[in-house]
Amino acid sequence: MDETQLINGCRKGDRLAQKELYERYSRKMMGVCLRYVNDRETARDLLQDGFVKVFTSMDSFSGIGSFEGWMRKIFVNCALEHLRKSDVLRESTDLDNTAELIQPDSSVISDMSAAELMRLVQELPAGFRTVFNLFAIEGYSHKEISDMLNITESTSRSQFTRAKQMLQKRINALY
Amino acid sequence: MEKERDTIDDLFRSKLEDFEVDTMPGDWEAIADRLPGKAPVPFRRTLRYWAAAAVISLLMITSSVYLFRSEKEATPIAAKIEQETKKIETELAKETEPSVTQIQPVEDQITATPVARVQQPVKRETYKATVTVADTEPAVISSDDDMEENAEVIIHSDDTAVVETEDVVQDHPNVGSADEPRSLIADAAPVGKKEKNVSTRRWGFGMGGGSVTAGTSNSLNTYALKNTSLTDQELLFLNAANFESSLPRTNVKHKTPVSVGMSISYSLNNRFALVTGLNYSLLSSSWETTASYHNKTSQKLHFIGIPLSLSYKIAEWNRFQVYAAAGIMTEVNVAGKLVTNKYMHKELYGKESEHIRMKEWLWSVNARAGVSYPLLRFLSLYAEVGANYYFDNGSTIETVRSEKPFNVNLQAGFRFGF
Repeated sequence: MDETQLINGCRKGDRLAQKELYERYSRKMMGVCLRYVNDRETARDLLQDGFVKVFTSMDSFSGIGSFEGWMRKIFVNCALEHLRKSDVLRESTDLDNTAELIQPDSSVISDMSAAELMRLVQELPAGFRTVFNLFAIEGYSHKEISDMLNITESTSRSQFTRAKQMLQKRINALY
Repeated sequence: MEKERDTIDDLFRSKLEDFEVDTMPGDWEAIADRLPGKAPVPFRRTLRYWAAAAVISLLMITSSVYLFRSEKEATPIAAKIEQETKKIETELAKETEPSVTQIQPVEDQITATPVARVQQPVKRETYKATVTVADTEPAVISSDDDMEENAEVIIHSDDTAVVETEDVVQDHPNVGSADEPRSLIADAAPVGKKEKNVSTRRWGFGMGGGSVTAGTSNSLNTYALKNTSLTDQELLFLNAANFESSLPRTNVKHKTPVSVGMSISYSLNNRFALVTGLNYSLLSSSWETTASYHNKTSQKLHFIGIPLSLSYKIAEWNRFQVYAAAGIMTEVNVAGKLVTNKYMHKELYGKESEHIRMKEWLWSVNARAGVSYPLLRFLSLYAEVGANYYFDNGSTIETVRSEKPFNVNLQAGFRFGF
């Protein structure tokens, strides 16, 4: 079954198509969830919420553009909704902006495994982690992030910078 | 904004964007449980659904057939025949030499159905030939059923009567052999044996651990063909002396079968599953004759059955599953008892008890539709309506299965799945 057939099957509510779609994308979407929340049980909840939303809003996928990209947005939104509800984003909004900027070393990072980098990202405070994920991995602009998180654009920037500093410190400590 | 990105960002993105983490086994089930059922559009298109629809249609048709063949149709005829027969009996009792012409009006009156017509000649012939009240009784009985049944009854009842009966059926006016002398008891015996009043309870409902069954009557009266009680002859002999005052009659009552069972299902794929298990059924029946000397006979048979069926999941809604199934079942009679209490008026003067067993295996086919709900991962609660047809296994023991080979039932229970 190719992706178009799969999508059509899911639109009709075909349980077999839904299961195949789940099997095709669930591991990747679990990776997305775990980048935003660092405990596995919460990530499972997000995964389930995300897939239910995907299957119940299949009709809103226009068919233009990447289906995976559309799915990913749904999962990211689920994660953000959870973070907003649990109020963890505020934790990192009042950070010291005067800290010294440290540029991370790209060569070291390129040698690191994805699992190691994943662990480092998960260890970031929720606010830093969210902005870092949205900007560096998902590719949103600081303007978009400020709208999504209801923060100012400069806050988004500074949080992103602090997140990278924190990552570099950890990397330097490890290597 | 993209220009703000640097190589570090890209490095993280390239490594983490498609990072995969294994999910847990129950995640899909949890998601599936929260999804709405299938959309109705593909329902009609899929061949598999048509197959399911066919099974359900079969169930509905067979249920309708049952309803149409309910006792309401048979009872008025039986009542009318009985009424008419009593009239004749009264006349016969008054006259020592009844003639054909005396009976003729009765035949004319019973014009309601072909059944009545066929039965009446038989009665008439018998009365005429035997000139006894006892002889007239057989016709009284035939509460259920159609003319083939009655014809069969008579034919099998007595060798000497066969010829006469056939003649009667073929040629009403010349019931013939009226002049043939026959002894009172000899005539009474075969007739009495055939007599029976089937219990009026053909549709029964009950709740509990077992099954609730309702069935149609067999088109062939197996009681008449497979006589169970040897004491009937004796009874007729005893009652022959006062035949004018009492009309021996046999009331047959087949109780609703009680079944309990355990089934195991094995999923062949997402929709089809094989179901088997073990089933226990208790079939109890009672016969009671009404006369000065009479018997009360009760029969209890214990069956163990092995069903095998193929079930098909039609739809799923909120963990509820709607399914249809069709299959076969074979049952073996593991134990049985026949107890006969003999009464003179209301006084018990004898009791006989014997162990009986139906040696022949009982085979049946069935179709069912039901709903199941998973209580635990391997345990479901189910309720279903089904239709069964039991094949004649040639046994001489009469049960509700031979009397009502087709029945509709309700079942509820637990089902283990793996």
